[in-house]
Amino acid sequence: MFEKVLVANRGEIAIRILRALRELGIASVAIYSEADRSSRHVRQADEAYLIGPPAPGESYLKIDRIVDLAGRIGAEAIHPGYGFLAENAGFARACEDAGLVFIGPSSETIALVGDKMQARKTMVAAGIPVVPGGDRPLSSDDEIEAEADRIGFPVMLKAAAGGGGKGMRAIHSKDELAAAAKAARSEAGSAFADDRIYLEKLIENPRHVEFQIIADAHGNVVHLGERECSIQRRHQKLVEESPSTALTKSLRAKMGEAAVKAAKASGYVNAGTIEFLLDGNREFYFLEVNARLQVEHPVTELVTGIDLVREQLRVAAGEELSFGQLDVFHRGSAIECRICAEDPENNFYPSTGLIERLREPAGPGVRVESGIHAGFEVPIYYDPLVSKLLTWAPTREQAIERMKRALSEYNIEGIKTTIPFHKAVMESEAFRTGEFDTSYVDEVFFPMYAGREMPLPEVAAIAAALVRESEREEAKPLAVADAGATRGGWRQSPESRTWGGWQLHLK
Amino acid sequence: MKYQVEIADEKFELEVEETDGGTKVRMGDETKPADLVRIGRSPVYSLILGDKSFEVSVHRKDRIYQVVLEGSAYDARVMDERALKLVAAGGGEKELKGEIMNAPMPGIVVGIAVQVGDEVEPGQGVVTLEAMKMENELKCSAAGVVKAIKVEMGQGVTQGEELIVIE
Repeated sequence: MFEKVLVANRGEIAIRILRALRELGIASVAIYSEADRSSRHVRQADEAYLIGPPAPGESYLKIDRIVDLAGRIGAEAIHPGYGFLAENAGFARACEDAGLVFIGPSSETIALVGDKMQARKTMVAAGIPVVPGGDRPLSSDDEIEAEADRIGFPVMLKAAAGGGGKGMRAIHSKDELAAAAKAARSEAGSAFADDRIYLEKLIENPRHVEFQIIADAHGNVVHLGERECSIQRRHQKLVEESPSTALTKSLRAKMGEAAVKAAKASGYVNAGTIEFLLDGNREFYFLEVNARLQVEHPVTELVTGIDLVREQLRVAAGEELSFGQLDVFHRGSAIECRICAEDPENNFYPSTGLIERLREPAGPGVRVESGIHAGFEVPIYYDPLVSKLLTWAPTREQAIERMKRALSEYNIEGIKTTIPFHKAVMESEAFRTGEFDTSYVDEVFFPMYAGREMPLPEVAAIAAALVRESEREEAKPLAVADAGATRGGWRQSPESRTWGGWQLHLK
Repeated sequence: MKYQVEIADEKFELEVEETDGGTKVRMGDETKPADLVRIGRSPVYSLILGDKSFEVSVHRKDRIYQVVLEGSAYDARVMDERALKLVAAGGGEKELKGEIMNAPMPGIVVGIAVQVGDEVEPGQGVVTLEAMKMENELKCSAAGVVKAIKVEMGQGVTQGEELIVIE
């Protein structure tokens, strides 16, 4: 096993990895930007090094500086976390060239699965179902039109180097083609410096179901079951859970088998995720490989009891997986809510600033993966994800009730977060029944949410007035000040709320 | 003392009374006993309203009280009787009426789509701010002519900072 490992990340995922290192007795190294000097991950590591100015391009994305630092301080391996350099084949290669272990798949595998067209070809050859479509880049509008006719509308334009919804365009008819192709090409070009695009059949209202896999360097590949990730807003996952309400036992076995095949076909070693789309007829199609530890990995940890980061470190050090496929059991139901520093009442604008007070939920079946603390100034430079709240329970129903309870205990004060949004999701009929797809939040839930009333505004108004009153009281005795002022013509304006509505909320 | 509390677009009118039997709150034609106790020196309060128990945290920022209640944050603007009278008399609150665009969030200015002297319409995108890897186009709410641009490209702004003055 390693003696010293560098964590090339920040926030909650850096802390998650540092915890695993501590438990394994491995010396841990944090890197930080100038904006992160007082961040938790710096204090939770055995060593910490300033890597550059706040902008990621000047710090957390500086391959040379990070690799050079690791060599200088005697770290044997680098864990990239997710985001930043996690799926950067150039970074993995730089580690390999410097004699460092990159904790993740090889640079060849990252490059192979990072090219969506290459990945498709590999999966087709391995007999894994893929979304019907083309395996070649399309340059002229004529070519695109011919391809669209061949596949049949509606179609989806995609970037070969794609990811995160960039360069993706759904097209329902011929006259939309040219404009969409132009936009997709320019978006892909600026996002990935690669403007190759291709066409796939559009799977309408699919569910997004992914399988966690882990593989060692001795040829053992195991899948750890699925995560349901269909609760998304603008292609960004908000809530993940396992098991998925859409899978039967036999479908789960089939998809798991396909996931293991996909990992083997791409020469995958370490932890990874195989993403699938599931259509209305419960047919599944390979979507892509995420060559990293996922944000939502704790969902799988809760239902399987397996520590994925610990296992990543073990297989990266050349050890065999500590379990086989038959040792993996799924127990109960787990849900994750991504808590972001965004204001759901104000168009999900980022809400940065000082965390004045923080109280995290606890109690049975609750897990918090957080990167913030009271007194922390949330920087504007990085991902808005500040924490992940997970619950586990024997049944899905109980896990939802537990999540509602945990969300109501979670106080992040000083910034706005998506906690109220998650509470509304947990209460929605579609989530409770499990009948939803990837279009649900954007098309059904969000319009409803935007028009809803806050749950307890009357109580909040009273609390604010009482605090104001107590501040006055400190200045002078209230009874005297207000004597005689409490009678008379105080009338409700028509738009103001009354006790009647307020009592309803308290029931 | 009477209060008007604004949360989002809603106005709540209520009255806090001190009686021999403790504090009472009246809203509409109903009155309930209210007991607010601060927990030590923290911003946390225990509120017992009628027979219901709540935990609230309250942070004050100028005239805005941010109330955190069961995981939701409410920005409450509290005005007491005297402040309301001042407003009614026309002397109190400064009304901006959309003439000055403020930053709704902190960020870095990555786009300015107008110049001084340009005519703008409600809903027109004028400034783009980037924060947390996302670009957010800010639209003006009033029609008029751009009188001043108070920020530059690449500049970092804090929440509430003046961006553009429209007349």
